[in-house]
Amino acid sequence: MDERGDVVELRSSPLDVAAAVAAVGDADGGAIAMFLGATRQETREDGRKLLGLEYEAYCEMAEAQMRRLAEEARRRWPICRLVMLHRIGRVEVGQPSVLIAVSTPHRAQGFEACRFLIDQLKSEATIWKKEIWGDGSSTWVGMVRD
Amino acid sequence: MKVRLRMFAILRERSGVSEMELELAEGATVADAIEEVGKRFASVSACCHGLQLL
Repeated sequence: MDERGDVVELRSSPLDVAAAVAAVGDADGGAIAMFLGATRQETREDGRKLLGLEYEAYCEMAEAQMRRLAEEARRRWPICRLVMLHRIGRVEVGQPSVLIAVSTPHRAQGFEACRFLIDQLKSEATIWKKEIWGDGSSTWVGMVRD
Repeated sequence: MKVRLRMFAILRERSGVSEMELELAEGATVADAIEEVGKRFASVSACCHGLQLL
């Protein structure tokens, strides 16, 4: 956590939604907006079912990139508090892999800031994911984009 | 010059190493480093080909 109370981190343990909501609570924050990205179930044409995703990151660089994005979002919108978390390690189907929460005076600012942060995080951060399939096979997806 | 190289994801898995040191000529570029890695690990040369340089 930095001096403004922002929490920008990679986590190897499950993301705590309630703790994130509490962390962005602010007397000036009339709106709290959150984006949660989760592992989506998937079945391939050959019948393989997705069990989960395995995330790997160049942690020092990814966290620095995430902090830069937080700074950029703060320049664009009047953000009171901000939480940006991304999982590393195994994330089962249905479990959250990324959490972005911001408190702002009004809702439009919060929606826009969340949209900006998740779009930029996915296209820029040095985080890779591997699909783990029920038959024991796995596939690297590369830079996190979708 | 000595360059410390870190490998992630598919490159780490295929090469079996997460970190290595390369000895490159002065003035060498990132593309030179990638070419060297491709020579050293046949298993990653296909991936190195389409590698995105940031």
